[in-house]
Order: sequence, then structure tokens, then C-alpha cells
Amino acid sequence: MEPLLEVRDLHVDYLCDAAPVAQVLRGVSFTVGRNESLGILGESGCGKTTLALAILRLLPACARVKGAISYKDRELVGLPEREMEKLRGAEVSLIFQDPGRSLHPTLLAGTQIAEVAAAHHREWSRRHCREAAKAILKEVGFENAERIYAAYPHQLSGGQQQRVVIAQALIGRPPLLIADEPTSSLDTTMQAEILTLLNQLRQAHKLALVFISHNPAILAEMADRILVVYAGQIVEEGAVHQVLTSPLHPFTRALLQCVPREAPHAAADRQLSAIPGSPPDPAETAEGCPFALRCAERTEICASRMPAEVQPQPDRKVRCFKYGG
Amino acid sequence: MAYFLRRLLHGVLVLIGVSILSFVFVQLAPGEFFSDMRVDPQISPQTIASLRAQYGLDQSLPVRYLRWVRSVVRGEWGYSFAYNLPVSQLIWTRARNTLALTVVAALLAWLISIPLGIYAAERRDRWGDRVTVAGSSALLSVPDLLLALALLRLAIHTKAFPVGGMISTEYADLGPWARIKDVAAHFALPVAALVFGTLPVFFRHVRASMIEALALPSIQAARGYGIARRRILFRYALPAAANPLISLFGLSIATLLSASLLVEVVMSWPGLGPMLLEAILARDLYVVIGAVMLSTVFLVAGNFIADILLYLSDPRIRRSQS
Amino acid sequence: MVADIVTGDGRPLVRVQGLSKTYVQDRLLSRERFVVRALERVDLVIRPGSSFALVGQSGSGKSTLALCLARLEPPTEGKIWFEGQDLLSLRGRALMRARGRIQLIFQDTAAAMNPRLSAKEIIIEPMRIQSVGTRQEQNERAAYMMERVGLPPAWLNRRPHQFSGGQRQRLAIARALSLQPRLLILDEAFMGLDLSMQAQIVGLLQNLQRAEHLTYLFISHDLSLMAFVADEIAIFDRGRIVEQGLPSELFSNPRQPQTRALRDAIPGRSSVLGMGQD
Repeated sequence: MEPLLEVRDLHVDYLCDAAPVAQVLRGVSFTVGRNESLGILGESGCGKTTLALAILRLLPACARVKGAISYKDRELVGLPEREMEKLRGAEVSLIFQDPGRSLHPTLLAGTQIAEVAAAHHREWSRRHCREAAKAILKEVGFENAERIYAAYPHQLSGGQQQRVVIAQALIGRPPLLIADEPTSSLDTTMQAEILTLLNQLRQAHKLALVFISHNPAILAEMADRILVVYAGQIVEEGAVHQVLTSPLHPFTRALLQCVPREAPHAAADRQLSAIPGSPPDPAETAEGCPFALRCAERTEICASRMPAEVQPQPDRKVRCFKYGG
Repeated sequence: MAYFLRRLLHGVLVLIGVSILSFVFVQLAPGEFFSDMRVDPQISPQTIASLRAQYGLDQSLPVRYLRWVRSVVRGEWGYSFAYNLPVSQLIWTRARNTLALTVVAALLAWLISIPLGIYAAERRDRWGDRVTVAGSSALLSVPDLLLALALLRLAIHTKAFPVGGMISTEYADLGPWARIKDVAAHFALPVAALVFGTLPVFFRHVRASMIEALALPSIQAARGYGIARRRILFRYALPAAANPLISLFGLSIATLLSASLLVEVVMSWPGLGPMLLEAILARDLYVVIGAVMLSTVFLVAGNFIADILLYLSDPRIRRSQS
Repeated sequence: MVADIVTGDGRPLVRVQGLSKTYVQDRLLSRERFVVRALERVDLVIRPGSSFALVGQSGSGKSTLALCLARLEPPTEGKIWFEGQDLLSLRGRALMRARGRIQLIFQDTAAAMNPRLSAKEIIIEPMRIQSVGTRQEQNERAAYMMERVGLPPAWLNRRPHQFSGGQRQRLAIARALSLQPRLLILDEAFMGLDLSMQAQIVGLLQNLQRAEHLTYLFISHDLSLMAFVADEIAIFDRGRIVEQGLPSELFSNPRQPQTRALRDAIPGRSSVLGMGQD
């Protein structure tokens, strides 16, 4: 079965503001199959948002993209903008982190959803678009779709806003949904609702989902497979339960130790190990493995060369000298 | 509802305040209407005194103020010393002439600057943008006075337009159609001067607001759902850019009577401006106050209209007020 | 962390009794009044040297409690004792001194800092306001605090926007500690931080608590993180404390539905991985 989305050796550089060229993505390759859920795990600045924007061609003009992105065997990189517009929202949709800022402040919530419907179904009447918007509002869990349709975004809570965003994203019935940290600005209960909703919708519509997050615990619930991204590169890849229970890459291991586990009984257990240092600045490129500085298991070779990707087990890839490369 | 009543009340208070202040300030200017007459040896002091009493100039300031208020209520707005007519009569014709100029100029300026500003914002930093911005900078840097004079020079040179005034000397002999053409010909240059003066300002504001709006995350999200570029521009970006523009529009209305003074004087357009200038120089007290008050009414109205439009266009303002 | 009770006499550092805060919005020309009961008769006790957490959904009123404690909002009813004194009745110098001993750290660090000031000026700003120490002493304290929070003293001249989110949070902590407070209130201070940053800040706070004899009041919606940092947790819902206890108890035996909802909302618990088990 051929994959829905295939990214091959994607490089993205930002040449903006006369600043040093930032290598935000460095040779990223992966595939997403139909109805598959892929998790992308990484810290801020690792390039995960850039990846999402690159797939949908929403990067600013000063970004330079090299490599191949193909959707249903169609190459997206050189596609004319008009064709790209038809694809966005109808084949691939993207939802962002802060729903309050993703929604237009002076348009009704329902109108914004209806607009997306109208953009992809030019033959539909305005009434038809409105009805479709109300229908999908019901689908994302609003009992009183009429009331929500007529509300302005600032009148809704964070969780409600994100549901509206999801409605907007799915009204075009895209087979692929990319969610970039959709719950990071919501509190835990709203987060749980949204995650449940996304899983439900995935089941109901056989959606392929690319879920981007900095929290492995969320990906444990949402993803089948996981890519761990560090400094613009994929450093580990595999089935989610394998990667999260027996991580190979030192970064993955260290990150998992930062997750607060079940309430410890003994005071002595109340230590959250941290990764020393900060995530690397994409504008500063050093030799060797980008994680070397913060790695507890580094050796001499790590600072001098970039490790290649190896496959120590079937279906698992890792980019670390510990496993060869 | 309460919001508007409050704004209205505020406007009324401004009007009262301005009337008092202008009364006081005009008094502060040295001399009065009859000062020149004092110098004339043929007019006796008693004549001057009786003239002054007739116009109530011998009364104290508060008394005069109250008498003026009563006159306003009667619809006269006081009396002009120079023309011996109620101020309201005098001002009305002049104000009408001014409004004819400024309303047309404002409409033209907005109708040109909105599409131009949107165009420039969309093509930011590309050729179209650079050319229009450079053009607006050039216009901005030329003082209004120079613009008006340059246009007059053009009129003299090309003989395509009359040089100043509102009507030609033969106006009375012209048929109706010819009269309209005559006024229109006189109209063109002052309007052009006003438009050249305000267009660059509006253009820059529209462009800046649109650039800011286009950078909003909600616009990027809309693009992400495949909404066409044109639709995003007008349905999403322009409404998001509207707030500062509405305030500016209110300012346009507010200055409808006051902004054209310079152009009117230079181009001899018989509007409120030249009359106000004349009245100030002659200390024709109530004409000055009348003109100032009328301008203030427009100012208050302009702000009020802007408030209404803002309330209607931005639901967030509605929320914070209710 | 059952910390040392530094005062030794077992007196609570903070005692809140019957605290209520109601927001009323009058509408002109209308008989309706818009009433929001942000806090309803809240009682709590915070022991010195301990870490207390208020956990609840957004809008539950927990931030309002922080504002009342910091005397940034006047409560409608109730009493607050701080260090044995009636906090609400303090005025003038006494109030200023009390403010110095209760410090607040917010979620949005960029918004909480003047972008025109350098890091050094930000740290010593509280000292300047309260006229504490000479210029020299203030500068020394700034350098000392930068190191204590793990930031290079060479960065004292940088502006807030040049720091990353996690680094700014450290800076906020340095500023909060410049007046040597007793109580630090952290309102959603971890939201928006990467996990590794979060873990670093938690470690920093734990170290500082021991060294500077601090008491922490955490306000958060993240029960799993609070279980890690707090000695005692109070679950907040619609202006009231609905349940209170040790973190391990709340996890194993939640009695109220709100507590259970907060616990079950933690991601990763229901997955095959059982992120909850070690």
C-alpha cells in the first residue's frame, strides 16, 4: 500500500533578516500511510513546526526548501500556488497550537468554518455551507451547534476554540491531518477532551494523523509510530511503545526521564532528572552530533562527526554512534 | 446603548467647553471690532460707545456668553459686526462651499488609498510596493502650501484650469449646463490639492494596517485551510486591519471643515476658511466663534461616527462595553 | 519533601480563613448584574518551608487566590495571616515590607518583564523600589542571583527577549528572590516550557528551597507535575477547595469527581505503556 505522504531528504534553511542562515531542517525523510498515526517528538526549535509548515507550503518567502515532499504521489515542492490552495484543507489540514490566535477575531466561529467549506465546494450555496458547518460542529462534540455557530471566538473557552479549529480543519474531509502541539496551551482536562476527540475522529473518518508534541506521554496515547527530532534531524524512529519503553537514542532516554511519573511515595523519589543545557540554536551549526554537548553518554567521536542513520533492529532507526554509523 | 449615551454626553460637554474657551481666547486677543474706528477722528467716541452698547460689547464676559447661547438657541448664532447679518446665515453658505470641496476630496482620497494600500501590502518589498511608497513619501514631503501654489502655476501655464475662485466673472450670463461646467473647472484644482495632501497619509496607514493584519496567525491558519488569496485579503485581512483605519476615517470627518483652510485661502475658494481668517483679523467676534463651533460639531460628530463604526465592526469592543 | 520547619514553633506561614472574592459588573441602564464568585470561603494553611499546590482547571479561581495573597486584589470577605500578622490590615511601610516577603512568578515571563531593561536591572528592580542596599550591593546581588539560578553572569546586560522561555523563567526567579522573600507564589510557571526546561526549573526550585528556606505556593492545572513538587495538594473547583491531601493519596484514592477527572486527564496513563508505572 503506497504511503499517503512521503518526505525525502528535506532541507529547510531560513535566510531571513540578514541573520546567519539557520539550518532548521537537515535531511528529514519519513512516510505517513493512510489511517496511520505518526507522532513527532521534539523540543522547541528542533524544526517540528517548520516541518508542518513546509508540507503545506506555508513557510515565509525567505525560507529555502530543498528535497521532495510528495502527497499521493504528487510532488508538492514545485506545485503552483493555485493547486496548493486546492490541496490545503481538502487533502491535508493543519491545526496549530494556540486556537485563540488561529481564529479570526471578528468573524463568527461558524462563518469561519463555512468559509472553508465554500472554498472547496464552489458549487455549494451559502446555505449549504452553513448547514455543513453546523453538522461538523455537532460532530466535534457541540450539542448546541447553533449557539456555537453564532458565537465569536473570544466568547468561547480554549477547549471550545480548539474544537472549532478542528471543525475547520476537517470540514473539507482531508485524509491527512497535521496537528502541531494542539493542546499545549490548554489545561489538562481540556487537553484530555481534545485528545479523545481526535482519536474518535480518526476512527470515524480513517484519518491519517501527524501529531507533533514535546510531551512523550501525549504521543503514547495518540501515535502508532514515532519520530524523535533533534536539531532538525530525525534521531530515532520506531513503533511508539518500543521507542518509549526501550529508547535507543540518549536524547529520547533523557527526555523520558523528564516526564513526571506517578506520585512518588517517598520524598527521595521526587527528583526529575533534567537534560543539562538548552536546545540548540538552529543558527549555530557545530561539527558532529548536535546532542553531544548535552549527552550523558557521549564519546570522543561524537563531537567530530555527524552519525549516520542505522537500523539496529527491524522497524527501528537511530542516529547515534552507539549503534554504529 | 449606554456606551453611546456616554459618548454623546461626552460630545456635548466638549462643545460646551469649546464654546467657553473660544469666547475667552477671542477676548484675549488685543483690540476689538471697533478699535479701528477709534482712530478715525471723524467718528465721535459717543457713536462708538453707542455702537458698542448696541452689540452688547460693553457687557461683562459671562453676560455676553449667556446672550450668545440664547442667540444660538434662536438659530442666529450671534451677529456679525462687519456684515450686520446673523452669523448662521453667513456661515451656512461658506460651510457649504467648503464641504463641497472636502467631502469630494476625502472620498477620492479614501477610494484611491484603500485599494492602493492593499496592493502595496500584498506585494510588500516588491516593485509595486516600493514604487507606491516612494511616491507617497514624495508627496508627503511637499508642504500643502507649495502643492497649492504649484497647481496654481500649472493653471496659469496650461490655461486648462481657472486660477482660483469658484465661479468665473461671466457666471451670471451662463446657461445651467455651462454653469455646472464652470464650477467644476474651478473645483478641480483645490480638490486635487486636498487629495494630494491627504492621500499619502491614508495610503500609508492602510498599507501598515494591512501588513500587520497579513502577519496575524489567524490569516496563516486561513491560508492553511485552502482559502483563496483574494478572499483572505478582503474577508479576513481587511476586517482585521479595520480598527485603526476606522479611527482615521473618523478623523477625516472630524476635519471636514477645518483641514482645507490653507487651500481655500491660497486658491480663493469662498469657503469657511477665508471667512474665518477675515473675521479673526477684523475681530468679528461672533463669526469667529460660530466658525469654530461649527468645526467642533464636525469634530465631535466624526469621533462619534468612528465610535459607532468601531462598535459595529469589532465584537471584542462590544463585549468590553456591555 | 517534608522540609525542615525553619521557624521551629510550628506556626503556619500562611493561614487563609473564609476567603471570598466576588466580581460584580453593574450594567448601566439595566437591572441585571453580572456576578462571578471567583472564591468562596476558602480555608487553607501553608507551613513554612513546604511546597503547597493548588490544582484546578482554568477558571476555577486559583489565580484569584494568588492575587489576594499578594495583595494585588482585595478579597470581598475573609482573613489572611502571613507570618502571624493580619495581612489585609497592613498599610504603608509594613505593607511594603510584607510585599517584599511574598513574591509572585507568572506564566507569561515575557509579558511580566520590561523589555527595555537589562537582566541586571530587572533583578535589582525590587531592591530599587524598596530602597534596599547600596548600588554596589545591588549589583553584587544581581550577579550572585544570576549564578544561583544557573545563568551566566555575562548575560546581565542582555534584554529579556534575548533569553529563551526557560531562561526567562530563571530570570524571573532571580528577580523574585532578590528581596529574600519567605513565600514564592508560582502561577502556572511551567506552562509552555519544554519538558527538559520544566525539569531543570523544578530542580532549581528544589535546590533553592533548601538553601534559602523558601515556602512555595504552586498554582497549576498539571496534577502530575504538582504531585512531584508539592508536599500537599488542594484541588480547586469553581472557587472552592473540594479535596486536599498528600499527592500519593489523591492519586491512589481520589474521593471527589473533580480530583478523579484531573487525575484521569493526565496523558499517558491509559496507554499500553502505562506511563504511570516505573
